[in-house]
Amino acid sequence: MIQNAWLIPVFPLIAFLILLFFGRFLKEKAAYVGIAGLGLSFIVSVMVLFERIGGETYTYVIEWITFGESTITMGYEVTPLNAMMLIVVTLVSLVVHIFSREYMHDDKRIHVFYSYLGLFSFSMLGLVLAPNVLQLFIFWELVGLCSFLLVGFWYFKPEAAAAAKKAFLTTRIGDVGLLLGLVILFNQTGSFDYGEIFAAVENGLINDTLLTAIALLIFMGAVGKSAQFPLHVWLPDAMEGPTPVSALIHAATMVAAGVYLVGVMYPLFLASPTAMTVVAYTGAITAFFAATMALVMTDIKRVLAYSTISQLGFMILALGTAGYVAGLFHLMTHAFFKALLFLGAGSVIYAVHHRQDIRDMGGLWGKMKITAVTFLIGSLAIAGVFPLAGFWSKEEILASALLNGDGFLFAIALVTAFMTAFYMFRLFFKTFTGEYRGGDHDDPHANDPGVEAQGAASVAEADNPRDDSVDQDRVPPAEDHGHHDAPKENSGFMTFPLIVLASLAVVAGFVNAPFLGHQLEGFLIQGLNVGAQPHGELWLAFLSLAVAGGGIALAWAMYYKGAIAEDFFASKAPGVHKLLINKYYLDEVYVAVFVRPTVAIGRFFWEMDKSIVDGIVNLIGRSTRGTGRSFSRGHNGQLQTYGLVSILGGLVVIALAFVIRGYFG
Amino acid sequence: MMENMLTWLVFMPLIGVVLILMIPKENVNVIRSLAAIISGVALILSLIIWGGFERGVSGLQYATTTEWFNIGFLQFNYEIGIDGLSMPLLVLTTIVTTLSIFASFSIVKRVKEFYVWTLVLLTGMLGVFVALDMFLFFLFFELTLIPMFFLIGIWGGKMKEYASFKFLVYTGLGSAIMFMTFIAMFFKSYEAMNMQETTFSMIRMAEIFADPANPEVLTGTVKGAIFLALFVAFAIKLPVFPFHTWLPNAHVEAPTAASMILAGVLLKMGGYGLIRLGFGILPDQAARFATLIAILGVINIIYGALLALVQTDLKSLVAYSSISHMGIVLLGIASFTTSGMQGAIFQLVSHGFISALLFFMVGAIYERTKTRTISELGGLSKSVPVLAGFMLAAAMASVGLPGLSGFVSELLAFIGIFGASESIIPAATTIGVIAAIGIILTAAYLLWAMQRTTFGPMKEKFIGLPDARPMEYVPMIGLLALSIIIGVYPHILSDVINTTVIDIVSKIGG
Repeated sequence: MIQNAWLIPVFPLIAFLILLFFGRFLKEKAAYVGIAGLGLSFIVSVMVLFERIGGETYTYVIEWITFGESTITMGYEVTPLNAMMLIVVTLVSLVVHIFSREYMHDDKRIHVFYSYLGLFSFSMLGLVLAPNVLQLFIFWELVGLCSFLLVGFWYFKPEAAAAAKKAFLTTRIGDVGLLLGLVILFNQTGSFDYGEIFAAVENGLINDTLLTAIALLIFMGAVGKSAQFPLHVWLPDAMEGPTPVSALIHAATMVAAGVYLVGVMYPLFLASPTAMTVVAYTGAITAFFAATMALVMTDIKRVLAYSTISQLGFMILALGTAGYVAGLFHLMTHAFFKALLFLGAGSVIYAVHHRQDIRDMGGLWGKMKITAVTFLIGSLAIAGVFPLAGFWSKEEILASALLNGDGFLFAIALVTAFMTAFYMFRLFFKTFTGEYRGGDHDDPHANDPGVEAQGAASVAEADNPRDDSVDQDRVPPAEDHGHHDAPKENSGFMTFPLIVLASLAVVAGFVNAPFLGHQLEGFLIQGLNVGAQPHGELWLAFLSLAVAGGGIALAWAMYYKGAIAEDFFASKAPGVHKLLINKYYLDEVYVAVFVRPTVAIGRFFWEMDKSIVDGIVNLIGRSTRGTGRSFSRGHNGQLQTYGLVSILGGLVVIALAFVIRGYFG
Repeated sequence: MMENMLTWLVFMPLIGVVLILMIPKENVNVIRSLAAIISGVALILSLIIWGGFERGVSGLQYATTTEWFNIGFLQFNYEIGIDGLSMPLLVLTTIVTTLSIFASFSIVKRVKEFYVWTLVLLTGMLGVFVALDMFLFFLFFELTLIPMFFLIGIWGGKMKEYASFKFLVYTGLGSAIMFMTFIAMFFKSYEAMNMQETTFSMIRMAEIFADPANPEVLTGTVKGAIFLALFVAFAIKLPVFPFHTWLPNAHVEAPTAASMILAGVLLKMGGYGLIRLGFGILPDQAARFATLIAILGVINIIYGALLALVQTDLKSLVAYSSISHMGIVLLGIASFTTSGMQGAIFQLVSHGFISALLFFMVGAIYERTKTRTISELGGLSKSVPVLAGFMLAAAMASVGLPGLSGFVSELLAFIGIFGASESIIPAATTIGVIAAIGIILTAAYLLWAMQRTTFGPMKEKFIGLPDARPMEYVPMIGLLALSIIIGVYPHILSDVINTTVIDIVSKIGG
């Protein structure tokens, strides 16, 4: 089956093509086309994984382009790392496909939605299977396109349109760095193939400065895609997309591609200590800053978005401190529990009639049992509570930061872990415990300045813009699924994916648990020279547990028990709170520093173009204006004359020249 | 037959012109069909030539030389042939012209004349790409000027007269410079061969310039001046900053079909001429001025993109994007590497398809909304979803999204500039990095434009606009499909180009 691994991306591609051409006839049934495609992909992925565990890396390529003596090939390859990624991507994508069947069913463009999901799955799987880094880049850009299309799925909302553009442009900045890195790498090694690149690195064919430059340029791509500081600003806004998209693309798979990129290029990074340091610090800073912002957000999706950025920072930190397996292990466990949390959030949003502000929620524990329990499991997992998935992977990251990093990195990681537990349980308690605050009132926080400041999209605005008068795609509320009913548990389409992901959030950590002999590590590092993997001692596990417990306890005290006032910190340090709720004003800074000056320069050049550069020509043009009038009278004979003159004139010049210089005779 | 294939291809449209002239001008549907058939036959002929083109073979194919006429001892020859450089451009020309004829079925004014000029233009363009005799090349080059002048001047927008004259003055100036340069080259080569030989043949000219019987005549100064003059002549056409200002005016005023041909093919004649004559005959001078060309390339990329960013008219945005994208061509050829040169040729072809598609989309939207002002558009995804979808696809192709042809040319050009030898371009890395900023700017102006036109709430006045007509699918699907084919499997093109590219680059010692 491993030879047929190419089928894995092809199934979703076929689903995409079917839906592209026949989607409008299928309507809601489009969902089943997508689900079938991903189902088949998942089955093949499982077969490929089992074959790869007992087998060898398989590669197949064909010639793609030739220039001079160089040839670039394309094809597919199954390595341990991408065999693992195939499972993660197909599984999460499959459950998201199932979930969306219910979540999106009242959207008239549901077939478009599923076609985009198919295209995305194809691209993401193509990225994973790439046998060389150029092919990875090609699919890397395609997943970016799909992200753009899906963030902007409700394109008629100005916020969604703006967010889609912002996501594409911000990641594009990183991508240009990545592309330049690849181009320079190609000129140094003559190949995009991983094997040949690493051989060149090992044999010292690239000098150290250049090697560091290449690694940092490639890392720029990861910074954009995996929403690392300072290019993280697009991810929170990307929450304008439908929630299942946030789960699949902006939590579990695409945003992890940056981490994956550093993973597949790992020998290159290891060869440059400077690059490794930059990677580690970028990850740590991102993890910390994103977590601080997650503390104050009130939109359920934005809390999760900042949490995603923060967790991606953790992975990057691990990779930067030689924790190759730790970073990729966390990538996998995070994919499961973060997809779970996002789908859980989707389930909640759906049940409370497309509200996203946690101040309008509360008391949902009894009303939607499956969602609540699975969400709790996800929260425990991300907080790193034993024996859930996040515990194992986070502990390994802490070990890397401690053993290969420095005290600062380790301290930041610990503080971030504490904040993670706190903001997740703040979210959990606010959403599921206490009294239901949704009621009948509409948009209670619409005019709240704090909310307004949270993003381009006002938080109180529903995920699904049902009130948009221009939007005729949605059924009127009367036919809706009980717009003003009390929240209740959703159908099996939505709860089944939650149960699957919750089960994985419980067990996925065991694949690399120390007492089972670090199975994943043994699998991932075979044939690779990525150095010894750091492992923490037992006290670190207890410390990690204590930190998580502390965070949960504080959240419990503030948001469940009420022992500490909810605005205790906000009132003690209003300046800090304002800074956080405004996301450190980074968006404003970027607009002032990059966007406005660029447009101003453009305007200046345009004026110059019209006046100076063009002025000279117009001067000549004016002299021929008389001729121009001939058009209106329909006499265009003069033009034919011009043509004739310009040719005959030329001949006369030749003839004259010959006569004068006496060449005749 | 093989030798005559090219001649048949070039002059076949003129047969069509004669046929159309015989049809009464009231029979517009017959005229339209005939024009489509004629260009379609030219397209099939060019594809047959493409199929018969031998891959991996150095030198010219389908070549033929016939004595034409003489003035005194001065012999004018009809010398034609193609290589890996002209082959793809030939197919590009027939495809873009055929599709633009489909795109112009909505024209109702002076239909007969319109297609007569379009077919004359087709002959001119094809002739430029096959001519190997400089005099013949010049004739064909001039032959493209007049029809385009009329296409803009008669069927254009409000400012058509100004735009068409600006076009004529500018490109006419380019022709004049080219003509004078050709004469200078003729005399210098005559002198260099001790007045034993006269030639207008590009092939022979290149040999003489490389190995003159009397080297004293062809000094560095002389050759440098000739190269720069040629460069300016073709720079106006491409266009290169600061000779670009005719282009936005011409595009904004031109009818859709003329814009498609103008951006799709005519600009490419500038790039083609630069490579064929500048690099083909004076490779040492091209290398000498490589840094200048690369810098101009970067200026084109950045300047064009910055101006595109602030345009308020969608069509002039696309026009400035053409200027920006032609910078890639300069960057590629200046690098004197196989990848850069191939990237430049890829860009000529790729931009031909993509810009034609973009101009078609802008035209189709204008036809329905009666506006091209970006701020007045909006929500088109709702009112005309198919057109908006193709518009977005075209924009993505222009952005250089992988999987579409633009990416391949950019990738190759960048590999080229970063791999350029220190002796040819001293600061190649800096130039490459600055050029890369253009990639971000390109994404910025195109996505911003898409956000404001296809996305957003639907405008009341655009409710109920008709979406794409069946006939419009022909150019839309055709052009997008070509961009996808080249983007997904560029081997189909590199296969034809590569040998010629190696030949050109090897002229400068490796």
